[in-house]
Amino acid sequence: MGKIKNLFINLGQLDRRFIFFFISIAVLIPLIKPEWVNIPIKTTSNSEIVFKELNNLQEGNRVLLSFGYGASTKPEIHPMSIAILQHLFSKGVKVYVVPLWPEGLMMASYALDEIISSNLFSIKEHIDYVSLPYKAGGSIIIRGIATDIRSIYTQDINNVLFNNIPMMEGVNKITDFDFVFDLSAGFPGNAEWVQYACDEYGIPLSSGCTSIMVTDAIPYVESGQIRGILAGMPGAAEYEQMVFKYLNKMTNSKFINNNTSIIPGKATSRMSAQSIAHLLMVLFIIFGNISYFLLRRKNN
Amino acid sequence: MKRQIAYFLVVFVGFLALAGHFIHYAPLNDFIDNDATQWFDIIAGFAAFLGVINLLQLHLNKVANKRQNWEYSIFTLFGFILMIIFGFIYNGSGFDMGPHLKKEGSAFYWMFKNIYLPLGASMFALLAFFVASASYRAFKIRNFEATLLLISGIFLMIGRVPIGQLIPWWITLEIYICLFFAIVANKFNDKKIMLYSLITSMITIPLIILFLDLTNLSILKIPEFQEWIMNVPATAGSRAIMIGIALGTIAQSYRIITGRERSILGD
Amino acid sequence: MNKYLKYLILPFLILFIYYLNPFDLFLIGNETTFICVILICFVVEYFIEKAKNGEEIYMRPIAAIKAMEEAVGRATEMGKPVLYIPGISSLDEIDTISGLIILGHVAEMTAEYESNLHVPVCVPIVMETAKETCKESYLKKGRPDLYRNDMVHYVTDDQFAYAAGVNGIMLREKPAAIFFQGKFYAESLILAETGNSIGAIQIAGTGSSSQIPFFVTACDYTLIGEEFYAASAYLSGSPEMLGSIKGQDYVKVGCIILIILVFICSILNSYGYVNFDISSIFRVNVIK
Repeated sequence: MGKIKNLFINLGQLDRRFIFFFISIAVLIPLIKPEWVNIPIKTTSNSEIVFKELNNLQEGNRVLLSFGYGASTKPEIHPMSIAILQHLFSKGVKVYVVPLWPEGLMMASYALDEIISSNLFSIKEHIDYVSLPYKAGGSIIIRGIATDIRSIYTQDINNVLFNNIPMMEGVNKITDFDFVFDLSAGFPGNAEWVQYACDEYGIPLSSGCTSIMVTDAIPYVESGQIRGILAGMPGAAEYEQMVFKYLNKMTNSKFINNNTSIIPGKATSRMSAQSIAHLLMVLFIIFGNISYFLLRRKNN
Repeated sequence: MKRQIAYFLVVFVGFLALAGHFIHYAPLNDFIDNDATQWFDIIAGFAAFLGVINLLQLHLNKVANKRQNWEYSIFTLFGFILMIIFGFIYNGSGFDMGPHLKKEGSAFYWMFKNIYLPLGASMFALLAFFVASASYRAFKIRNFEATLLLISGIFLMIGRVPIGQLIPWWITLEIYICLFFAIVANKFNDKKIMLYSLITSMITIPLIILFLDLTNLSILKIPEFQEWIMNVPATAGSRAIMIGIALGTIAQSYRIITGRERSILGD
Repeated sequence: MNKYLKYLILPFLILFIYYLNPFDLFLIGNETTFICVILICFVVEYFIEKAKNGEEIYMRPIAAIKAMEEAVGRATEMGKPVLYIPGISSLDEIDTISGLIILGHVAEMTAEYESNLHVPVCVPIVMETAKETCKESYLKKGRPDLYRNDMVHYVTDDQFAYAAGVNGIMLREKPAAIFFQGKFYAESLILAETGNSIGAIQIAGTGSSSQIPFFVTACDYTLIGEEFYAASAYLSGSPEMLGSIKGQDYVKVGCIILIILVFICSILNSYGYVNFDISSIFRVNVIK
């Protein structure tokens, strides 16, 4: 009995390097061998609201997609951006890409390149989507887009003037868009879109952000100022799953190339790694508490 | 005199910015909405030169005088000079200097894509390990608040991931029973009675729930319970902190623009 | 009583002028914000004047603020430096300004106790302000000889590169006390955990509500939410500052009463007893 007690006490006082080692194993194995750990994903209400809002959009509607994340948060948010773009292009929605971070420009270009190379949609630049360049200023840019987009931008990322872009016709301010979707990992983020643009002008807004930011965004979600939220990688995985099922159902859609196979996104496979890591953390916490109680008893 | 000018500028610009949000005067509104923040960006941009000079000064000094850990300064200076070369001198692509920064093929883009981006992702990935070691160390049942933190942390960690959906209702119920007894444990004088009560509860309560057909209750499903924690108490707490921070910001800003907070001006 | 009457008359006079809107002077649609700003400013000003006139202001003890001097003292005893991190944002964030104000007080402590202060900064403009703040603090304490120019230095603008740099400083210099006071994002836990691993006493304060849980977990003391903004007033101890905190607390009481009122009205509205939706008055639609 004493040996078991000592074992638990030692387990509760592990060097942090052992914890790092076990966490790395717990994350690596499901990533290398995803078929070993395959856990079904159930959608939550917030992700379902986002899906429903975007699903209600019609062909020709204009959606402003804001890229406010970088390489550090790419694993969490990039799968969301791919799934959102797939969903929007499958409905013939016009996508206007705005990077609010310098790295957001690259993330947007990676996402669009991935969509184009998948050959799932026959999309053309300046007809189906347009990418605007990065401008420094954060919330000033958001305010500028809200009041007069042409005071901020006059050409797209490839230096093509707005007058020569068909889908920029009639687009002057935020009220010319039907929906705004913000992918953010910090500042400026969904709070700035609510405060400076969408709430003031009554444009529906939804957001995908890192798990850490969700607690800050939840009051806006509860008040209806943000319509649903994709929370980190779990949110991305849930949305991917919904879009995957939706695309598989829409076999006769004129926007989808039926000859191309639909591949599920990366967040779904990464959730197994996150599940195992969380479970391991809970186990460590339990061992830590058992050790704490045993030590306290021993000292008393 | 220098200080008086600084106070005057702070008070004047502070009230001007505030007035710009309420006074209907187009030049003022334009100044506040557009020009003022652009002026700040320009000043901050020029201040970047000061940062660069400071960086070079510090590290060159270290290397020249071979101060403690001077070897690390060599790496800093090497990285700095390399990016200056790729940014301003060597292009490596067919594009003009300037636009080459964001064009694939240039040396700067290569450095950004293959060195800077992976390094940034790696630093963020460290958070996973630090979260594990921080929770392992901090989530202990020391007092009521720590227990509450521990319980909500565990439920949220399990509930947010797909594995939470695999946990059946009766295991969740057993967890609640164990937590309840952990909280009331000190009320029992005889630990044997506590143990028998615990075992009896762990057997009878699930049977009662099964008999009453209450197995579909949301509280017995960890993902739904974590959603409730996020939507109700976490939101309430988040709102309260946001309101507190907003009021603190207003009071602090008021103290600064009325010239009462003078520490940053050197008083 | 008469001298405080102006705090009752003046705000209503200003609001009346705003309501009349002579010569179309004011923007339409911003009424709620204007009313709130006027009322809050006058409430805070009222309590500042009361404090200046000698009224005793009770401030509840905040452990983190009391621990600041102990932390600096500990660093002096151990012969190790004090590391002060003023966040990663620029001067346009109120958190950074608050962090720099607290830096001024901490610099006074380090000047008095003759311990080393090290302030790595993320933004060049903050570096200049921090340098001036530290210089003035050392001068105020009569120890300009202890101030060194390289006490405050620039690391890098990038968030995670800054975190890596500061981590390196922590692991090499092994400071005995670490202060995290300012605006932080995802790098907060990386910094706090590294500080914890070297055994330093850590005192954090930030207005980023999403980072507060990380600091609470990893640091010894944390200033949560408005405690961080009140810290500068608390540390100065001047009646004006303390009066403003009391004013802020009374505004908070007003907010609580308003929340309860809106809650009751919303329930009555949803059940059909009242036709007016009170939440519509909080919508901001500025017309220029």
